[in-house]
Amino acid sequence: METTGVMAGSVPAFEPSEVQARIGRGEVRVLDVRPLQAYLRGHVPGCSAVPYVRRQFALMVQTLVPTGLPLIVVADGAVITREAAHDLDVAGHKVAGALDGGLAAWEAAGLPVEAVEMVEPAELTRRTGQGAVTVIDVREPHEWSDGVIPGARRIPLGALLSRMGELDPAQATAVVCASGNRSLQAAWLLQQRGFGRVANLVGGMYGWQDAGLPVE
Amino acid sequence: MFFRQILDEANGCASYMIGCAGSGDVVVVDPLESVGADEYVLAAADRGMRIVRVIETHLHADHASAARTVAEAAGAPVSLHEGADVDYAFEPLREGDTIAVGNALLQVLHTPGHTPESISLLVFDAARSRDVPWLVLTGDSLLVGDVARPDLVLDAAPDAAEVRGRARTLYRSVHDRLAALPEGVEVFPGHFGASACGGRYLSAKPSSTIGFERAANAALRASSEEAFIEFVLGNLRPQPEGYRDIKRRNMGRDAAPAVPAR
Repeated sequence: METTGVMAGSVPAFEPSEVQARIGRGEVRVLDVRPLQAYLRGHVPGCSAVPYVRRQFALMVQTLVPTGLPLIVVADGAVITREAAHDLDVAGHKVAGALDGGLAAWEAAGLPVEAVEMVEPAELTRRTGQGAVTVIDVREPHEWSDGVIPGARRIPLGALLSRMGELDPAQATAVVCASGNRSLQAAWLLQQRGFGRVANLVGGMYGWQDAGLPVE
Repeated sequence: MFFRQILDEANGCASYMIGCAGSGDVVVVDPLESVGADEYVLAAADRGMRIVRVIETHLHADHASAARTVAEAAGAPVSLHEGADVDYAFEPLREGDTIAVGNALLQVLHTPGHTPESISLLVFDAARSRDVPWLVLTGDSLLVGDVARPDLVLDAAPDAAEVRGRARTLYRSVHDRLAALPEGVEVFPGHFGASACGGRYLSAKPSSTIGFERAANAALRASSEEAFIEFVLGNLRPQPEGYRDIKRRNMGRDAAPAVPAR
């Protein structure tokens, strides 16, 4: 494959339009290894994502990233690109290259970006009132006794991957936990499994209850 | 607020990562080449954070700085005091500037003496208190049990009067400004243990509090500015070997020696 841009170590760099073209032809899979929050704020639509956390990366890649297509890595900078590419190679993936300029370049090129929406309690309760969203509470069972958003599905974070079949990826989905942090992981897993419209409740159930909203 | 002290035990140097897990941003202060630029970048990623700035409290003369390599690896700027004499592009900091890193607020204090461009960073955790500072990164000014040396001057023949003048400046920074901070403020310095930048009294403990240093730091307990100057100048250990070369490299004036490939 022809490359553009500067090599990050031994990983060739591809311009955004090049990557978009290859995605369109089904030739590559994009793997975003940036921190979770960066991914949630905006990423290449439909990409795979495993944040580069040294002790967890290999295992999560095994769980979440299918082999078969060569990978284009999205990372912040050459060090992480190099380390991730090395670990992916060891795990049996072919790394075709990296997105030149990262997601900033992708956005600057006017290419579409998918994100997880951050919603406040007032907005979420408006949507649940309209029946416009499925709420998933990913806390542990002993936490549900503190009160659950009326109508919420209860699936602990650890069980989410295995129970995802109970949910409809076409539905707008909102994830909720105690403070709004664990649910970020849930949002990530849902996006990875093809849920296109995912929102995270900012501040979690603490914020929901501070806002005086009802629980069951 | 996220806060970690990263130590080089062999050389008695301390570096810092301060940020906010909520915002996902972290700042690295005085990164060490002995630790390696990669480690700071990977440590930030391990915690779901991204390095947004590198701050040098001053231009180091005793060890190689990883400021530029970390900054380049992270795509972030390097910040130093506006008066820093360096041959590379940096973002200048002024007395009173506050750098916000999510909930972590870093207030710049100009605390010269060890070097003219030395700064300290007074740190507030906005999620806990915007009024009461929690800790101060003092670089090489106030150390645990000691104060930094004023005699590592770049000029080939250091002038005794100039060194004395820097000791006086150091007194004003350490005694009038840092020691005047609330006693509960934790002190996190740039050196500890058997480092050439401190004197005979430098503690091997890498942190302290303003209150404890006021009570037990011999330099702070000097009865006057003159007594302080005599104490500091009388307390100097041998100058670190090659300090001028190290400093010139950190200033960007000379190229660093080639690093062997991994």
